[in-house]
Amino acid sequence: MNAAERDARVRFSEMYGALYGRIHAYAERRVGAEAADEVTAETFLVAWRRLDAIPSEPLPWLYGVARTVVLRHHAGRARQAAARDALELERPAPEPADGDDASLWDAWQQLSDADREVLALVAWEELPVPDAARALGCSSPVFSVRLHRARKRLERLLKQPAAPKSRISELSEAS
Amino acid sequence: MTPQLPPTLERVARSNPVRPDDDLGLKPDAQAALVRILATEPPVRRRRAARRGRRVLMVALAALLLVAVGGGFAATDPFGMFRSPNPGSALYGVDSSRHVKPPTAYFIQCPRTTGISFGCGAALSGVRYELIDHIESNNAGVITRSNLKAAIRQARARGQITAAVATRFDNDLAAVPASFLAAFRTMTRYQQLGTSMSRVPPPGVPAVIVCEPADQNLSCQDLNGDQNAAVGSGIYTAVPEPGWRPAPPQQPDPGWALEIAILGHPPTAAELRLEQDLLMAANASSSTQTLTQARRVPAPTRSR
Repeated sequence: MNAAERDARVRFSEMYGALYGRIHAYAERRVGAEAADEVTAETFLVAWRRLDAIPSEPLPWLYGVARTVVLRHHAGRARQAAARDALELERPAPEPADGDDASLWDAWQQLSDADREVLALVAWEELPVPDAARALGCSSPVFSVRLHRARKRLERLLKQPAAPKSRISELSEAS
Repeated sequence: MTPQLPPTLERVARSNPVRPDDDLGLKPDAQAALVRILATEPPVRRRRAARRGRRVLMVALAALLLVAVGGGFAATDPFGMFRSPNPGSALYGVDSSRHVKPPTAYFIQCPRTTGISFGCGAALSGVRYELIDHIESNNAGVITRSNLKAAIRQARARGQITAAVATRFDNDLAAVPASFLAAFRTMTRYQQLGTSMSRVPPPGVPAVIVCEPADQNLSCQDLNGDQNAAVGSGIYTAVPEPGWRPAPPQQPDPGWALEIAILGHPPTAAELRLEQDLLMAANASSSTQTLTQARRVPAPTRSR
């Protein structure tokens, strides 16, 4: 192993140790605890193979890679005719217990994947707009517009009354 | 917490279902995964004729790297025959007038890999490829007489080349016709990518492909020999699989024949000297990686 390779391994290992927890949390929020290890490992495998492409601030870039891996993970599950399981796994856990969070949860589920990702990058990953934009591969102004629209859609959904229960669930509760 | 979040986002933030554990990467399971990652093939080393740089000398060096690796190809059928004979490497031309939206899928599969072009996509099955880069514009416009002079002056001012080299370069630059520089710009259209594959895919499966968006999937082709790769296209390398064979010994690439085809004649003594000067100057101002590449390039007098 030459000096350049040693440097690359050291640099990668340092980044891995520092950011593994962040990427793992990102993955766990989206694919559940069981698959988070796999998604995180694949994300860093891509990073290792593309070491030269990693910018000096690697976290947004890693989130971008992780997002692709998560999407592929979901696509794979869908191909295995396990769409229902995949949707369950996509649900962040644990599900909120009190009424206020439950309404947020309902609204959250009605958002598109794209809206959820934009909101989550800011609210959960706590990324500033420029970094979140880098993670999604768009410009800051574009991301700001997407964020604004996603937030407005979430607010509209939160203001809507709860959907009426189905006849089946009413019967179920009555029994 | 990101400051000054609007109330709705504050509410979303409070509902965060998973808090990151910053020490998780140092725990045994994560470290075991790190060992497995580091045991895989090191990052792909890319040798490209035109680097990302905007520096004139780098572009000049790029062209030289291409033309100085002599080979045995005849120049009778120039633009159809220029392919790298080495599996895992690609010799290709960039069409800077054509720009496409860069593909973003990191992993794609190709149901078939033969024919002029074939469809690939993230949701398809078949040979697996991984995104490593995108086709870049060749910056050929920067190779002008005045730009080259300025670049050499700059390299001299930084102490990267000697006064003797700078003087010889000026003299050689004055001695070559404008047609040579025009040909040089054409040479930058052609680029070379080599990977450090110790094993290569079976015949019929290109090691490196280039893809551009088409409908919901990608339209791909073997990068090696592609004469018109669009700027922005994705460069994908095949992901190693158990059935791959050991890489055969490297053969020289047909750069010399390509240079003759582009120039229309074997380079004159002045042109060869200028190339040599450019190579020296570019070496002096280039990165370590490029220095390594340049050391692999035989001196023109020996290779021709």
